[in-house]
Amino acid sequence: MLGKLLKYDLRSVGRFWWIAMLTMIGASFSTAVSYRLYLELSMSQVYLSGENNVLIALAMMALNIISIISLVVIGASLIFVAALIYVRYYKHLFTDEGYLTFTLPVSRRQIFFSKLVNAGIWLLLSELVLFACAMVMIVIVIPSYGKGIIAVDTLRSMIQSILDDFRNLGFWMVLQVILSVLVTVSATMLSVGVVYFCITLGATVAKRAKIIVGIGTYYLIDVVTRIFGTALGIVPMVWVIAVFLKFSETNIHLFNGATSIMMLMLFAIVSLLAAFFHCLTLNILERKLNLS
Amino acid sequence: MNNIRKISLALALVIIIESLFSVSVFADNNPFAVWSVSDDKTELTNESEGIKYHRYNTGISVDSEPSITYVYANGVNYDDSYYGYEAAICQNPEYKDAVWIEGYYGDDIFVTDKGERELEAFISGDVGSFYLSDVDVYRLKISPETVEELDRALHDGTNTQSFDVRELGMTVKNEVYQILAMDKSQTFTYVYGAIYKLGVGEYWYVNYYELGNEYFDADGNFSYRRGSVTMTRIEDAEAINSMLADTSYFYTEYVYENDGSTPDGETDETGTWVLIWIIYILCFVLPAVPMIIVGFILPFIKKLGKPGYWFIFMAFAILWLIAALLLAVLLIALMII
Repeated sequence: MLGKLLKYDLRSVGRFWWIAMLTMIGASFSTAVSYRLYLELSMSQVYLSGENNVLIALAMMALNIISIISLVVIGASLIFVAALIYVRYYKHLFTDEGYLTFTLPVSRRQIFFSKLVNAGIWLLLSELVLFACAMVMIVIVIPSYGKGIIAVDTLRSMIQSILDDFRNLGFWMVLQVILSVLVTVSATMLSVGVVYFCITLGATVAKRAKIIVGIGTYYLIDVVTRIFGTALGIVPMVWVIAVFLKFSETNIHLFNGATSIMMLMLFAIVSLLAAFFHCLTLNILERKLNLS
Repeated sequence: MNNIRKISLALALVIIIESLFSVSVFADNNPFAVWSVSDDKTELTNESEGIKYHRYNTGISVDSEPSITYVYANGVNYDDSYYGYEAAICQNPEYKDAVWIEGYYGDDIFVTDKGERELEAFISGDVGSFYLSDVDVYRLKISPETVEELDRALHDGTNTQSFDVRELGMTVKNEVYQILAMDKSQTFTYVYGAIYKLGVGEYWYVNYYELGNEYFDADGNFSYRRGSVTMTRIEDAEAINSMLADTSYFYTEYVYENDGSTPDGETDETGTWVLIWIIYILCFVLPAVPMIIVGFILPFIKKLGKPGYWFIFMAFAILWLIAALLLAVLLIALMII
C-alpha cells in the first residue's frame, strides 16, 4: 500500500516537475548564450573602436536583461517545484482532502514517509538538473577565443583534471564522492524536515492563519539557526582550517583520511538534525492532529 | 669634623666604584650571541663562541633549506639592500659549520674550514639525499638509486630526444618537477635535475647538473632562452604519478633567538596542542554525548512518539561519536608525526 501511495505522490508532482525542469534547462541556455554574446560584444573590435556605440550599448543592455531574467526563471523553476511539494503536503494532510487521506488503509507514519520520500526524490533530481545546467553555463560562458560556441578545451581539461585526481587519489576520491552524495541527500532531507515540521506545527497548533504561523515558525527557526550557527560555528571553523592545514603538511593519505572522517561527521550531524525534525513532525501527526 | 669628611669621602668612593662595576657587569651581560663582520664583508665572527666563518662562493645556485632555520637576534651591517637595518644571520641549529645571510637575490653563505670542505664536496657531487619537488612546496625523499637509474638511461641514450629549450618553455605549463640534491647536513640544496610532464603519462628527465652555465640565468634558474637539451623519457609513468601523490608539504620553520629559543632547543608546541584538544573535545565530541542520551531516554517517554524513530536519532548520534573518535586517532598520529 505504501508503494501505491508513493506512486501517486510521485506521479502528481512528476506531471509538473518535468515542465519546470525543461524551463530551467531552456533558461540556463538562454542565460549562457546571452551572457556569452554580451562578453564577445564587449571584447569585439566594433565596440572597442567606438563606432555605433549607442546601438552596441543598447544591444549589450538587452543581452544583460535577458540573462538576468533567465537567471530569475531558473530560480523560479526551483521554487515552483518546492512549492508544488509543500503545498501538496499541506493540502493532502491538513485540509478537507486530509479526511480522505487518513481514511486510506495506511498508517499515518506511512503517509508521512511517502511524502518524505516523494519530496526527497524530486528535490534531489532538481539539484542534479541544476548542476547539469551550471555545467552547461560554464562551458558556454567561458570564451573559447573564436574556436566555437562551446569551450571544448575547458571541458576537456576539467574532465582530465577529475580523471587525474581519480588516478592519483583512487580510493579516497571514490569515498569522498560517496560521502558528498550522502551529505547532499541528508541536507536535502533536513530542509524538507524543517519545512514539514513548520507546516505541521502551524496546521495543528494554530486555530487561525495556519499558513502564516507555519511561515513564521520557519522564519524563526531560520533566524535562530543562522545566529547560533554563526556564533557557535566560528571556533570549530577556525579549528578545522588550522588543523587541516597541519594535516596537509604531512602526508596525503592522512589528509584525505581526516577529510573523509569530517565528511562522515557532517553526514551524521545533518542526518541527526533531519531525524530530530522528522520525529517531532511524526509525533505531532500521530498524537496531536485532530481533523475535526 | 675631619673624621666625618673622611668617612663621607670613603663612602662616596665605594658607591661610585660599585656603580661603575655594576654598569660594566650589565654592559657585558648581553643575553644574545654577538656577531661581527669584516670591513670587506668576507668574514663573519661569532664573538660569543669565538667561531670564524668566511664567505664561500658556491659557483652554482645553492639555497639554504633546513627544516629549522635559527635566526640570531644580533645581526651585522652588511650592505645597502637592508636599508640601514642589520642583516640577520641564520643557521641550521644542527650544523654549526655554516651560517648564511638571506638576501633578495640569494643567500650569502659563510663557512668554517670544515664547512668549506663539506660544501665543496657536496657541490662536486657528494650528495646526502635527493628529493622530488613540486616547485619547492611539496617534496618526497627519493633514493639515490632512482636518480642513478635516470642518469643511466640518459647516458645510455635510452629513449632520448633533443628538445629546443624555447619550445620546452612554451609547452610546459607549471608541469615541471625538480629533483633537488641536499647535502649531508640537510642544510643546502641545489637543483640536480628536472622531470617535465609533456603529455598525459609522458614524463621526461633532464640532468641540470651536467649542463653548462649558459643554460641558466643570473639567479641560477634554468633559462628557456636558447640551446637544446637531451632528455630521456621515463618508462614507468605510474611510478612517477605514485611518487607525486606521496609528496608532503615542506616548509622551513623559523626559530628566533630573541624569542628565548636556543639553537639546541626544540620549538615548544605543547600549548598549541592543548588548545587543539580542548576545542576538539568541546566542539566535536561532547555535543554528541547528550544527543545519544536524549535519543536513549526519549523512546521511554510515551508522549513523544514511538521509540523506533528516536532510536534512529540515537544511531546518528553514535555515528557522530564514532567519527569523532576516528578523528582523534588521526590527531594523535599527527602529533606523533
